[in-house]
Amino acid sequence: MKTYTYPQSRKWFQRAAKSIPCGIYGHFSPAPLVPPSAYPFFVDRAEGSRFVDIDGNEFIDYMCAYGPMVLGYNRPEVEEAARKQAENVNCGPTPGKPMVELAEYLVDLVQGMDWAYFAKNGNDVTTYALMVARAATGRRKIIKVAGGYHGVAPWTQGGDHAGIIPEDVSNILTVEWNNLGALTALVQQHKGEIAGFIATPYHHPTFVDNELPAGGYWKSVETLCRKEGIVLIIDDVRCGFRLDMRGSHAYFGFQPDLVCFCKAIANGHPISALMGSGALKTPASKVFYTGSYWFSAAPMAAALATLKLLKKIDGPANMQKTGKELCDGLVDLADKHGFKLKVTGVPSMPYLRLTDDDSLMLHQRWCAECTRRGAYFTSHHNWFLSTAHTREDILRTLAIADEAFAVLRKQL
Amino acid sequence: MVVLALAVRWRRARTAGVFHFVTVGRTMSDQLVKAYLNLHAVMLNLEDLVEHDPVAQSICRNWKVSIQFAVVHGPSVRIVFEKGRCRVTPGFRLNSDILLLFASGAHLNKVMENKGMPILTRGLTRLPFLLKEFPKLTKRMEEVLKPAAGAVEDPAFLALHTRLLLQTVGFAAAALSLRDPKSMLAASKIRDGIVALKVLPSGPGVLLESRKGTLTASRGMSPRPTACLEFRDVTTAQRFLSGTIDPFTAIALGEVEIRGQTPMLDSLSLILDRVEHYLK
Repeated sequence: MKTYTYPQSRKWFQRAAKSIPCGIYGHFSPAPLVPPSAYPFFVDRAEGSRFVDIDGNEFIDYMCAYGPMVLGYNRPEVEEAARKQAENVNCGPTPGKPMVELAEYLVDLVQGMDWAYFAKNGNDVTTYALMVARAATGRRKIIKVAGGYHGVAPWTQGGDHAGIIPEDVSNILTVEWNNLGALTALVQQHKGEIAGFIATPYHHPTFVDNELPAGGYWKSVETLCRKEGIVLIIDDVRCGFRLDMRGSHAYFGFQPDLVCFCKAIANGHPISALMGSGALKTPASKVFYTGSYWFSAAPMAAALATLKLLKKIDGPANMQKTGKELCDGLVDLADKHGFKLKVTGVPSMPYLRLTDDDSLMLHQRWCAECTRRGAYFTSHHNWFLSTAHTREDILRTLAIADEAFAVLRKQL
Repeated sequence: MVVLALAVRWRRARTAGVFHFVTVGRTMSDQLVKAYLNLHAVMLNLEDLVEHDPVAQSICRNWKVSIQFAVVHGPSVRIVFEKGRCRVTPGFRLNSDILLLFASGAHLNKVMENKGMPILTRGLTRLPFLLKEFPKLTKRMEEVLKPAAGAVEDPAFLALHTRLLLQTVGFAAAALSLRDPKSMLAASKIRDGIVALKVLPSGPGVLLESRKGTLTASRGMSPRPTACLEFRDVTTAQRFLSGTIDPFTAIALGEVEIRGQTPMLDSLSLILDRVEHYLK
């Protein structure tokens, strides 16, 4: 099998590094890709489940732009909706009708949510959710799960991080995932001070196995929050519409007060949404929160088209099925070559790890070998499936993985 | 006690809402942390300097003396010169030939910057050695650690400078994980295991073993580290450790290689930033 090289990616990165801090920054930085030499840095074009880098190498994409691509790149129905709206107006002096239509559609779609408020990125709405919780309760403190990711605003980061001062995180408390006892104790310790509890529907940090909620965990958390007057906030930015069209809280059988969506909501068009219960609509209206492009109509039209299409084809079930086929196949191949591959999380966004080596070095080498052959696997983050991934993609991926395991076995 | 005092100061400052880093950077407690770094990281370099630098070897070849540095309610270190070798051991031993006492961390730091004198408590007869001979070696160490412009263009000097720089940073990180509040927070998030810092292809290297949120440093390499931070060559290591290159860019370009449990390196990098804060 041909292995890829990336001379153009390197050339453009060197150019980028001269005028951009880090060359490529944030979660797209090549730094967590181990080794970076196995990975492309710049994309040229993308269609369906595949992308082509600037060296002309084609990849089956299992990162899906880190989540936003859910129906396949350049999905015609979505692009057409966005294009049509943009032809009329995108960024105008007032919102367009799609804002109302999208809010109405989401209220009908998402379980227990009575209103929607739109922004651009996941972090916009997780931060807004905190502000709404504080406005509604008059309290300062927020509890979040240790290792949980809610964006990059100062409150989401560690107090030891560059650019963060102690005051940024002085009202943020952390608790272990799935540990109801610890959460209850923390709430009692700060009785009457907790405005909100924010968590992802299941625990999907980077570099470690993902964890589903323990049986009864979410129902107990919901009960605790109701009793103590704490706003229950679900960060569904990553999982949203990959588990259940009604929201991931419906999938796990509980009812939050606020839900944050982004990524899969518009198949790559820039928009996020905070949804909330009726009781929080007035407090939400009192928080002044806005942005220059938050009313752009084209992404709203794209979101409407994306959600309708996902619902029509039962996107979450489709992705779960494809993801299971992929993961089962990879586990069997690992076993055939004498390795142990562990799959955690849900099949539509699985986290995989070769458990033969706790340092992750073996897993990093395998992901690199797969990527060099055209299956774009990262070793530090959960992967994403889309409805565009076909059976042919899965079979091709398994062939690549088979060869990568063989190469690894030979090297050991 | 020192750690506790720092933690109390941190909490009080936060409660009062007056905390900012510049102020804390000038407090006495900060000086005490710096004193630990000076004795447990910077002074440790004397061992390697004497072992690897012909200039240093020529200075101390015939020395046979033990010197105890001790800060009141603070760090102490014992330096022994014998048979052309130097051994630096953290801790206090009563039977040293010379005992240099420092009233405080700030006092020690001033002496390290050639702005003060220690209190000679034992070894009065060795005063000429202390005034004339020993400073030759510490001056040489300063030359190597803080090279003059152009000095690093000499490959041998660059290799020596980088060896000492790597060691200073590694041992300072370990000292900070016990004493500097920001570093303690970062270290508390590092899982148990071994982080290997190494200059390719064959060293030098420093190992940092993380256990229950504190770091222990040692020289050398590990066959099975948990995470690796490797520098393509001596020049890259020098630029990385002295903070003159963007680490993310260097990693992307393969000048610096990371692998394994790289979240350990993320937290470690926050501690390395604190080394620069104290030692500039």
